[in-house]
Amino acid sequence: MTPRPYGLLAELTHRCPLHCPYCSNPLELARREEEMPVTVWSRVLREAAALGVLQVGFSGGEPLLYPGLSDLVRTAREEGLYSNLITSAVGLTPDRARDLAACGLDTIQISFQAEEAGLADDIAGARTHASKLAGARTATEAGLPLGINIVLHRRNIDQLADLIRFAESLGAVRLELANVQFYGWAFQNRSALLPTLAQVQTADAIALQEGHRLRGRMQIAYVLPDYYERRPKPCLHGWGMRALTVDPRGDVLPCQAARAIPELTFANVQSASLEDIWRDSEAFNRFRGTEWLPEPCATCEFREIDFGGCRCQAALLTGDAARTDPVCEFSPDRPLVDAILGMPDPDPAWVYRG
Amino acid sequence: MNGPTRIALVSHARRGIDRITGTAQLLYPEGVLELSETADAVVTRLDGTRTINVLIDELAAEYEADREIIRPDVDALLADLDDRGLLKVSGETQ
Repeated sequence: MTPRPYGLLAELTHRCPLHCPYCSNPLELARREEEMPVTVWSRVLREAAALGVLQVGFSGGEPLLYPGLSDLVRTAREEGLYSNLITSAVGLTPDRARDLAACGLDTIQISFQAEEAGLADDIAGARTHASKLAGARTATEAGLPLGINIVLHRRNIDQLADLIRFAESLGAVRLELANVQFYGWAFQNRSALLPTLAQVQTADAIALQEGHRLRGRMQIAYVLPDYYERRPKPCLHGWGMRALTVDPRGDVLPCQAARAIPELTFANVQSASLEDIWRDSEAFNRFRGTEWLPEPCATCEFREIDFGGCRCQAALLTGDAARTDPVCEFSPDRPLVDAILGMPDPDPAWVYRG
Repeated sequence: MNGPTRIALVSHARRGIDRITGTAQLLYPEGVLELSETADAVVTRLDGTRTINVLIDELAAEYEADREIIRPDVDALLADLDDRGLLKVSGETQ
C-alpha cells in the first residue's frame, strides 16, 4: 500500500537576497518567469491536503518575494494545513506580517547566519542581518510565533552558546541548529564549511546541556554533521514515505536535494495530479520501501530505521544513488568519508551562491 | 502545572483533523501528535479557563469515571505536552 505524506515543502521561488555558501537550492535555479501562478499552487495545496498532508512549509529562495504568498497561506488554513513560513525575513514589513497572521499563518521560521552582524553578513554574502533582526521583531509584534534556524559550519559553530542565547533573547519558541549538509552549493564549498572534530564535540556538549536547560521553553532541534556520525540519517524517514517538495516550476521531488541524483526525472504538477505523482511516478518509487536496498543494507537490522541513509549523499560521494550511504560504518565506501575528514583545509575560502 | 494554575496550549500549537484517518492531531512546528479520544478531550479544554482539577472534574463527569482513574493519564499527557513546550500557564505571553 502506498504511504500517505504528512509534509509538503512548497518552494515558491528561487529568488533570494542572500548568497549563502551552503545554499540548499539546486545549482540551476528556476527563473522568475518560470514560477507557477497562485492558481496552480492553490490546487497543489488542496491536492496535498486531500492526500493526507498536515503541514506545509512555504519556502524558497525567499518566499516573501512571491506575490501570491498571502493567498496561499489563506488557502492552506482553509484546507486545515498547519503552515510555516521559512524566510530570511528580509522585507517583512509590519503590514505584511499582520496580513500573513490574519490569513492564518501558524508560525514563521527566520534564518540567521550568526549573532554578530559582521560575521552574519559575511556568511550571507549580503548586508541583511539588521533587516533580519527588524523582521524578527516585526513578526513577533504581529503575533506570529517565532522559530529561528541557523545553519552551523566551521565559521560559526564555535559561537553555539551565544547563538542559543541570541534566539532566547528574540523570544523564539523553537531553534533549529542544523549542521550544514553537503548537497548542492554546500557540496562545492565543503572544505570551507566542514567543522573539525574538536569543534563538533564541543558543540554537541553545549547543545545537549542547553537543550536540558531550555526544555519546555524553547525547543532546540540540533542536527549533527553526519560525516562525523557512524550511522546515516534516516533520510526523510524513508524515500517517498512522509514528505514531498514542489519546486518553483512545479516539479515534485521526494526530497529538496533530489536533483543531486542525475538519473531521476521529476513529474510536474502542471501536467499531472499530486496524487498520481506521489503514488506512481518513477522518482517517488525508485527508492521507496526496502526492496531496492543493496547489501549490506538489505540484510541489516537497521534497514527499517535508516532505509540505507541518504540517496543524495550516496550519489554525490559514490556516483551511485543506490549504494549504502557512505556515512554508515557498515558501508564499504566509508573510507571516502574518512578521507574527507582527514584532509582539513588550513585556509578555507568559500564561493558565494551566485 | 499543579494547583490553581490555569493552563492553555501555546499559540503555535493547534488541533487539526487527519483527513485520512479522521483522528484528531495536535499540530506544531515540525511536529504532529496523534490524539486519542481522551487526549483530544483534554486538548480541547486547554483554553486557559480551567485548572487541572476542574479539567479532571469535567472529564470524570463526561466519561462517568473516577477522578483518580483519569488523573494519571491526564498528568502524563500534560507532562508530554509540557516537554514539547506546548503548554503555557494563564498570563504567560507564549
